[in-house]
Amino acid sequence: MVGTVRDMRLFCVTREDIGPDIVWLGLVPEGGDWPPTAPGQFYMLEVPTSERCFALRRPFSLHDLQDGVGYFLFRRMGFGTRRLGSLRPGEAIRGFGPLGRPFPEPTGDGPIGLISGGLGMATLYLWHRTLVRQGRGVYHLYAARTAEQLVRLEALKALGGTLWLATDDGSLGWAGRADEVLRRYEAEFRRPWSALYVCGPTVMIRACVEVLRSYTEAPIWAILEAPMACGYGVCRGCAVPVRTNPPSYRMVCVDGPALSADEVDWSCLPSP
Amino acid sequence: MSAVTLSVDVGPLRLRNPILLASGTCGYGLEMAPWVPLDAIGGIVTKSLSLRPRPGGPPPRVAELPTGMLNAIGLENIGLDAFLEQKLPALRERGATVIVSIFAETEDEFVAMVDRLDGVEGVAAIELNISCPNVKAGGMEFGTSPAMTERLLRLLRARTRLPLIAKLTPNDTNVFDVGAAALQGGADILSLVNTFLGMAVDVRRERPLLANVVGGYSGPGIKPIALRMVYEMVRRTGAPVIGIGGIQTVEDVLEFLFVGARAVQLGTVNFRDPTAAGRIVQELAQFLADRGLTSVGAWIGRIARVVSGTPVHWGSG
Repeated sequence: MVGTVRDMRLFCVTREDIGPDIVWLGLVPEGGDWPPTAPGQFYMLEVPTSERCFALRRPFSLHDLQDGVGYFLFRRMGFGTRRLGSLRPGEAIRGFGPLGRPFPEPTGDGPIGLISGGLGMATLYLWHRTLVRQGRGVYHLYAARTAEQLVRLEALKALGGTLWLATDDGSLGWAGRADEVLRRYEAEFRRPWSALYVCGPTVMIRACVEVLRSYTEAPIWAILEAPMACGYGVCRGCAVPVRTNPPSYRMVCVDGPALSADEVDWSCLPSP
Repeated sequence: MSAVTLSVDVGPLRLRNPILLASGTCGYGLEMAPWVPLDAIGGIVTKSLSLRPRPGGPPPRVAELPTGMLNAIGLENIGLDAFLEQKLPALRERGATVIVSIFAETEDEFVAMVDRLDGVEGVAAIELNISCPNVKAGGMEFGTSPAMTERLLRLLRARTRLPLIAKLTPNDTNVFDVGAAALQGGADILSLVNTFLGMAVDVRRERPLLANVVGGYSGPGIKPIALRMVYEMVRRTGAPVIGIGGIQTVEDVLEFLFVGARAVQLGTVNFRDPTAAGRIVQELAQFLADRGLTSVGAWIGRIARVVSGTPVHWGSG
């Protein structure tokens, strides 16, 4: 079930670093519960600034929901994530959501593949849990540069399904980037997939899609991010080029965040 | 508080209150319905519509700056016919005051669009976007030439009795000359300003932040510049002016009205806070009531009580 979009005051109840500059932020809406939020949906969180400073809100997937606390998982990268990453318990920000479309439901009874690149895992975690609860076979490849950037491993293992780990430097799990692993261990990844969901940096998604498409015809969903001013479809900023005829754009915020990987025109997406 | 009259006449256009949502920041209006009852604000100005749909430009299209943001959307829109068929009926049902923003590359296209809009139920006015900084052909070329602006307005004036609003660019032109030309040609109302051309560079990635390299700069950083232009436009022309530029709070609204704008448009703030317009309407009524004023009209142009004459430009000296 998907809740009606709402602008809320959100109180920080916990904030800790669970990896190198990786922030685990717990927020509770003032006087109530989180609106029903489907995996894939996101919230626009206010960047705490002084009254006289301008900042757009930032889109974040709801990573996890436990006992009324909504958790967000992100890395300190720039101004917005640094400010959000220094919230203290008791402080409040505003946030609105849920936004975006829930992940497309897979058809058929085959297994589901999830591919997380780094904090792409933040977005796929709830989906992993939901799919397992639906009784589906879930195979989750979680790749990052180093072992310390693979976070929430105990929680992920507890979800059930199969968890594969990979690191660029080989410090944990298979050695290599996600796309390299998908190629090298093709035998493991050749399954009668009902669908695959790939989330992470755009280059990583693109590389993984290319490999996966070479040996599966299952639907592949690319879960993308893009510079976004509003989150609800009016700024038209988060455009992703797609190979329609004539070529057009989809918006990450209202058409996504999951877009058909076959439809995305990867050659027209900005490189990192 | 209920004793305060917020309705305003902007030339021939009567508005429920002076708070409008700016073109390009509220979609086709319906996107705002979850955030603010559309019949509680003065009106919405649609995303600029062209005769045929346009896909817009390549990403990245937006970038945040410390004092605002840049955009180069490229006038993506669904086209005038799709708007009239798919969006307008629902807007009408919700009691929205709808100002249709149109954009064209040629005079013929402008004429065709005005003809299409004339007499359509539920269209309160037409805003002519002759000032978008993100499109090479047409658009801003009309808006930077007083002669072309006057000629265009004269053509369109002959086609419709709907209020015509000329939206002016602050770029590459003397905005006052173009404003005067638009009025001369038959515009009922001037709205200013559109975004300022700007750019920004990501030095780590060694590239501009926008794919289009340059784009429109909006947000609180432009407010003093826009306010000055609105003030002087009112002084020089006496025409009904809609003030636009960096409005974030009710104080900002009050400033524009104080210098003589008869209404305002909220733009970039809608991205950050879609509930802003609804809240500002209430705050405006509260502010006026607290000062013992019974109508917003009593506040508009109040600067004349303390400042007279034409502004003198001292430059930066």
